[in-house]
Amino acid sequence: MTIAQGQIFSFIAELIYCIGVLTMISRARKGIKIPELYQVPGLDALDEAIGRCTEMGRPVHFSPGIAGVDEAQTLAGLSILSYVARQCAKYDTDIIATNRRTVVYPIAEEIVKQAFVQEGKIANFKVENVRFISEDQFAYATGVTGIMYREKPAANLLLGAFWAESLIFAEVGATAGAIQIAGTANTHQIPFFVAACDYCLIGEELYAASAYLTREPILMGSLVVQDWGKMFAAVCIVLGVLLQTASVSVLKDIMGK
Amino acid sequence: MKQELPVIIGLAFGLFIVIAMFVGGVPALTTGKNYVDDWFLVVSAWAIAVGVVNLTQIHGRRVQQRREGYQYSLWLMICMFGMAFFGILVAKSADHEGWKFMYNNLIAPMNATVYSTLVFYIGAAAYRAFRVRNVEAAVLLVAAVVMMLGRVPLGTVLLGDWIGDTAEWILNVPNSAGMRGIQIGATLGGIATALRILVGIERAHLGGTGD
Amino acid sequence: MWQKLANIDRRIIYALMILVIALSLIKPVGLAIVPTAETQRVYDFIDALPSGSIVYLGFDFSAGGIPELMPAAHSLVRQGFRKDLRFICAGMWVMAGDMADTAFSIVEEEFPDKEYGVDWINVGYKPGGEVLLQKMLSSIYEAAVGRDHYGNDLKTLPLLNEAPTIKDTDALFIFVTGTPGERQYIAHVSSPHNIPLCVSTISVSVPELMPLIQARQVHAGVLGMKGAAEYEVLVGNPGSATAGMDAQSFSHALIIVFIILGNLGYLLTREK
Repeated sequence: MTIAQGQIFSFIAELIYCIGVLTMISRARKGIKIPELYQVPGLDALDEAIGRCTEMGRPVHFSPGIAGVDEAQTLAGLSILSYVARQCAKYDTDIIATNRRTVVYPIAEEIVKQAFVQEGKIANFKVENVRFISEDQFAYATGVTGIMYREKPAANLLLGAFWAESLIFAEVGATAGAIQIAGTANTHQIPFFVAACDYCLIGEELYAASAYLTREPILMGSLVVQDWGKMFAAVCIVLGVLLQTASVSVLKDIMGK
Repeated sequence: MKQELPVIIGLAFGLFIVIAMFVGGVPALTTGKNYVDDWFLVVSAWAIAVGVVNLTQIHGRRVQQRREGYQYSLWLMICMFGMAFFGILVAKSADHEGWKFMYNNLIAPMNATVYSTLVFYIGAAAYRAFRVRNVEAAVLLVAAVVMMLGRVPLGTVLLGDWIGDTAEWILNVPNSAGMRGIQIGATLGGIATALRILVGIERAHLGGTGD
Repeated sequence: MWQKLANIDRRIIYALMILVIALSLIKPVGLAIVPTAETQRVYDFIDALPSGSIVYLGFDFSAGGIPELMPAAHSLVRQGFRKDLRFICAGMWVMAGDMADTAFSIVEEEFPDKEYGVDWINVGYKPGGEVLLQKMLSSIYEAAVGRDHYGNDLKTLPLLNEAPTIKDTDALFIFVTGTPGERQYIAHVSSPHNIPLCVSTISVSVPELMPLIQARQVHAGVLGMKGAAEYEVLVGNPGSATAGMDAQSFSHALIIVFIILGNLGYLLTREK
């Protein structure tokens, strides 16, 4: 039994990282204090967006992105859907959740349904508001565009993995007059969201959303290790640049193992 | 138990796949992973049926109740079932002339049309967003203009080679640096999210709220 | 008056965009296209492959990507067949088989001596995303469930006997617009098995691709329609990408004009 060639460093690094995450979660469980999180305006604005829909008597539109369940961004998006759906249930606001992937659709439906159950408002749950549109990217984009124009949601929440349809959604949302909160870790789509939406979650902020929104210490614990990971990456970059400049390839060799 | 069982199954298969990805030289792992891969393929392929049921339920109800715009729902179902039945019962192969005709003259142009509408959205979004509100916005504006001119022949014709070189520099240096920074953070966030889901700490996707 | 400049109706922007693009396509100016070092590297890489090499082509895009990616695919087929390279095509996107079919539609006219099954195979789309790539590492035949895009038994196609797995190919050249895309090929195929990877991508994905090119996880890239136009010039067959660069040039110029107008309106009304 061996670790595959070229994977040794990433295996060890990921193992240490995972141990760190689990350790911090365990410390949080024991009640050890977790550092405060910095403000994420996009996440703070979620309640404001839902409140706006409640006041205007218009629905919230939520898209967990166009990737499948094998994409962590989709799962992060679905975690936020859980929060948004509960808030919508609490304030008797309709939520339209659109899906591109057939595998994601039943999960989204169950999340929204459970949110209404937990708020004791199952009678308000409308099964037809959680919709599978199409597996085709642009057919899905067209479907969402139609929903935005016809049903005029007052909030457009785009949180997950997006590609070319991102700007279509954001511009159509702007035309419909919706407050728009978008978030993705797909770096090439972030500029579109920044340009066209009211708030934008950039990269890791999307993954931090469930911890941020619930303020559960055990979820927040893992965020601390993310910061350590970033610091480690920064040290490796600086060290790597210095060593390579000095023609010393030791770090590169270790990482290539 | 309704939430525990999916978490246990997820943990078992998740760990198995991670181990199989990294560890070599164990035939049982490779065989097991091949089986799991096959199951994923089968589930992915069959999941389309769930989508068809949902579309039929929603649009069927709309047609049945003659709601506003029910004609579009009817058209959607005719297209969906028409294409499916034609593919399964008549064409049976992607080489079928009728299938190719529908693909080349319906699906491909419609797909390309929606994608090409982006050009209008980009124009409108750029006009709305690129305003010199502050220093950061001014930097964004200048970078956008340099990129737009530097990546097309007209820029070089009008302004010379320097515009293309500057665009290349923006793409290779500040852009790559920013992309890498965001990607490192996002990757770490992705691993932590996956781990939280795998061990069942984050289970909002199961319809719960976590521990 | 100035307020109007800051709030131009988006329909005016849309209408002028249509006009400018249509005019540029109908009456091209023919702005000179000079290949950049990046596209040259792609060309040189393909040129350096020994005759008879087998290149895996990943068609991981749908019809929306045709204007930017298909010209590069046609150029690659031309350059490759002139050098007697052979191709195995597949993809993780639903339209993969149809896209490969379109890419090779030029063969009948331009390369009548090339034969399907011997010089190229179109495995087509198979479901599973990156799992498909993992399965192709052990057997393309099994990953494709034995059939190509046209329903032929893959065992009857001689080229597959020479490259029964994706690891047996000499290079990967993929056409991508999103995910699954280059990252999946890097993670499962090119990096672990040291197979050089070239990528042709759409303009919007270029910024994300740059770090991968710099790190040489991607050997070289055809970057957007500009790259495709340069590749057409290098291969000596200017086509739709070359023509499209005029439209792209003038549409960019129009957007810049609108940005200037918007800022004029914004600054002058703000001062008031």
